[in-house]
Amino acid sequence: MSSAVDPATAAVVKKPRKARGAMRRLVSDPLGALGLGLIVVTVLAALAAGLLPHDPVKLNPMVRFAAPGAEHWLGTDNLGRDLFTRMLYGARIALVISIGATVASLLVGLLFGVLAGFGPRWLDSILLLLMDAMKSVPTVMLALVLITWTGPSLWAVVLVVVLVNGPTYARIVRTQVLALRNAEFIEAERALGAGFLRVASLHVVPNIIGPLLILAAMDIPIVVGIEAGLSFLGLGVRPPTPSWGTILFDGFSYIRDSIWMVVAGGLPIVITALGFTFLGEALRDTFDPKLAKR
Amino acid sequence: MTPLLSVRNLDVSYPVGGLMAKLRGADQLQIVAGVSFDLARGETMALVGESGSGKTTLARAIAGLGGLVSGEIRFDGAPLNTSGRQIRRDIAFIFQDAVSSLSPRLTVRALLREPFAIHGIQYPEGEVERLLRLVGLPATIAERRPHELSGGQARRVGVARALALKPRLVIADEPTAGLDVSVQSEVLNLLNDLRTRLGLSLLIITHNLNIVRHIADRMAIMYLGRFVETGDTAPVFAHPHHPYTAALLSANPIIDPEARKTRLYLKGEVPGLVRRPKGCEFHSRCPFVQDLCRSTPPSLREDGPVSYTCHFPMEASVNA
Repeated sequence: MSSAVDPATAAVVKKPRKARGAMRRLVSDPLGALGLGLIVVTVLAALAAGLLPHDPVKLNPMVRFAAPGAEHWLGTDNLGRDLFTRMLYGARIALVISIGATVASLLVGLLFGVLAGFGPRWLDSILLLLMDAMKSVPTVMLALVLITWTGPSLWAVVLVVVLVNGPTYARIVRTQVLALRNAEFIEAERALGAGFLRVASLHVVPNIIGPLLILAAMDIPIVVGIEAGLSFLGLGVRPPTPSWGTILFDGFSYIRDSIWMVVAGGLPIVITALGFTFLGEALRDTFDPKLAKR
Repeated sequence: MTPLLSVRNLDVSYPVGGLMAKLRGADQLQIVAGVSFDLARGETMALVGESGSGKTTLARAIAGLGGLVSGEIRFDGAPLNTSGRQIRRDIAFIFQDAVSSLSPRLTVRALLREPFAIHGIQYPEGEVERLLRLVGLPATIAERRPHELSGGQARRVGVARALALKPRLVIADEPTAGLDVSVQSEVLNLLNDLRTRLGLSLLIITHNLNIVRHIADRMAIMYLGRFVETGDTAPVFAHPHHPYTAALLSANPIIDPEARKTRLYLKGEVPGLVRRPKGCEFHSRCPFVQDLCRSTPPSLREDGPVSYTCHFPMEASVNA
């Protein structure tokens, strides 16, 4: 595959619809294609999890620590559960939490960022203080406090992620809104009588969402890591629900008996993290006007 | 008949500084001071002055686009509600930077539909095409986005958008800024033509005196946020009374090698608005300054169609 689109093709592609041209450029970037491929594999795995013959949570003490074979493709864990099945079910948890929590962070960030950027100065100051205060708390400490309070659950993980990542998005949104709020086209809309909601949703957000989406793509692997990490510490998804983090923790506890649990928990984390990171990098290159000509 | 727009003793200030300035009572900077004028239906008035003379601030205040306003603005005989919605339909504002006044992600069609959507008005069929035809643009332009337009086209789209809701007053801030000379005249003729066809009143902000002579019925010269001279365009050009007007007019290049002109030079810089000069505010730069000017602000005087604020007006011959 050639690494760069030749200029003539690029010009032809660019005309009809900007998004389609961007998509083609993204796929023609080997990093982007690889990232997209890895993500597709993860998503397919999550979708296919229900088709497998084994139950991800049913105990089967007769076949503890089985080696990979025809019956159990990746072997079984310390309680005799099929690891391949648990790995695929883990993809569901990982994707739902990482994408859900990132989208939630983005929405929270947009809400507070637009309010801070458009609002009066005192509101901006208060929100900025809150954002910085949130960012100054270490993730794990925040998670420990919060989860001690609410008890470990999938939702607690999402909440931790939103509290950690939301302020970052909010700060970026706020800065972009400040840069845009006195732009002439915003003035022009106000002169026509457009209200705050219309200006914010139709004229501000569409003009700042691009860089945020790239950031979101690059944040997803971090969220996968947070989920796995919290589950590993027993603060995330409750057993017996299969999460890569809990699988990894079990593998850590029984490393002398079988290595396959560590593989089933660790490998997908690496694959997903690489996939979204590659995609984010490629997206950034695709939409960065300075790099677009390369 | 009552004038369409009637402005009396208008002051416009902007908040400056923080809490400390507020405590000292110095948290407002007065940019426009004591401006009064009338604008009749179908009339064109030009606001002229240097950068920072308050032209744009005045225009924006009238359009309800900001500033702390005190004084009286009457529109069509009734006090103007600058925060209401009706003013957005009656008064249209054409912004200085044509391309960046158009929301970059919208097509021209979507931009021209915005006014109707904002005011919840049923969008008339074929209105976009009608508006584009009105400003002399081909209908094919409707699917383009602002960055795909030339400066002149973007300006015309801005004019079309301003006219969409059939305003009665159009305020144009530097309508020719950044355009080629040929396109400048096209835009001016378009505005003038639309004014007569649609019966609009026009308020044009500019520092280009040739535009004023070309298009304006009346003109007002601003200095430090005050009108120093107002009147019908031709008499002001023929006989400027205020030395500032005279200096401004004498700085305007005339394309005629035979024309002999005496340039009237001003010394110094425009004084800051924070500390306005005492007496006549122009005294620090006036070539004809006298003791009276340093102590006593001049009152408004009239000479036929022209009114001015100067103790010692220019003789009729200086710029002739």
